[in-house]
Amino acid sequence: MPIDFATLNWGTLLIAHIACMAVVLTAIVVRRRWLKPLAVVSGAVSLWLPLFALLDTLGLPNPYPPVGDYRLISSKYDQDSERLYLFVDTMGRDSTPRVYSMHFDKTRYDRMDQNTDYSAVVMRLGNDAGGDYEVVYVDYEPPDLLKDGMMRGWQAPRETD
Amino acid sequence: MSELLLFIVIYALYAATVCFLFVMLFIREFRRWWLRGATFAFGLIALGLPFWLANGTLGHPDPWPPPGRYDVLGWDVDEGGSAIYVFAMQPEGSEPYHLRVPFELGTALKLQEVAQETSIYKQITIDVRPESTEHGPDYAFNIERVFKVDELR
Repeated sequence: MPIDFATLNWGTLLIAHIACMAVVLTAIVVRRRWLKPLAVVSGAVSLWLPLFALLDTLGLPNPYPPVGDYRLISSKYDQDSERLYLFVDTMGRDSTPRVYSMHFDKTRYDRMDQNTDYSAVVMRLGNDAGGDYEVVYVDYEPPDLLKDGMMRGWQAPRETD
Repeated sequence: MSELLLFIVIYALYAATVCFLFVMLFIREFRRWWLRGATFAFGLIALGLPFWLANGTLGHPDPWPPPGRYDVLGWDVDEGGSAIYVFAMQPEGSEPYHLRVPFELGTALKLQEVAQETSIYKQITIDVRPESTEHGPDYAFNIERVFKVDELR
């Protein structure tokens, strides 16, 4: 029966990867002839398993956001699980936005929600290394792109002009 | 693009470590201490690298999202990258999902209009269809007003 990788989640695939690598490493150390074919098959499978697992992670929120400043695009708070989901822009580090999730106290969220009086909401994510994240708003002034005669893309002369 | 390149390079490194372990399977002289040390190190790398990569890919948009209807919670239009990034959640889902759909000027303008006048809109949903085009999935935004235009007449 063929395995449908689409139905397996990334955690299961990575556990399967550990199992396959364990077989390969055991075969190297133990040196039993009957283990070698099994190790070859396991190694071949483990070449592809992480790729399927990584493709499966796309779109899911990252529970370990890197510390830094982010421009908030949107957010969602799940009261039952006390998790805050953030849809953020990485502010020039990369053009692709990210989705992060973190455990967040309801009282802290309410307090934070009352202070959204900045037009460009920039958040600073901090980690106390204990898995507890701190989110503070930063008074952010966007760079003046029209300063110093900077030219927008649509203002640039074309080759045919 | 550079992130994709980095991902490919790291995955190639991972494949190289697995190939090294394959070679070690068939080497008879395994008693040398440096060979054992290298095998142990490469084994650890092969075990851990996918987890490190997974931490990097989590949170990135899915260019091939599962078909279905999603409630839109937020969006970001990247005209330069020809993409619309959507922060959405399936009605029966437990956590939000990050989708990447191809850029369409009409859709982008409509979303800009919604962003400027949020109060007159009730709900936005996106239908992702099973078919996909050359640039990404086939999709349609459904933007529902609080009061329909017909009711105003």
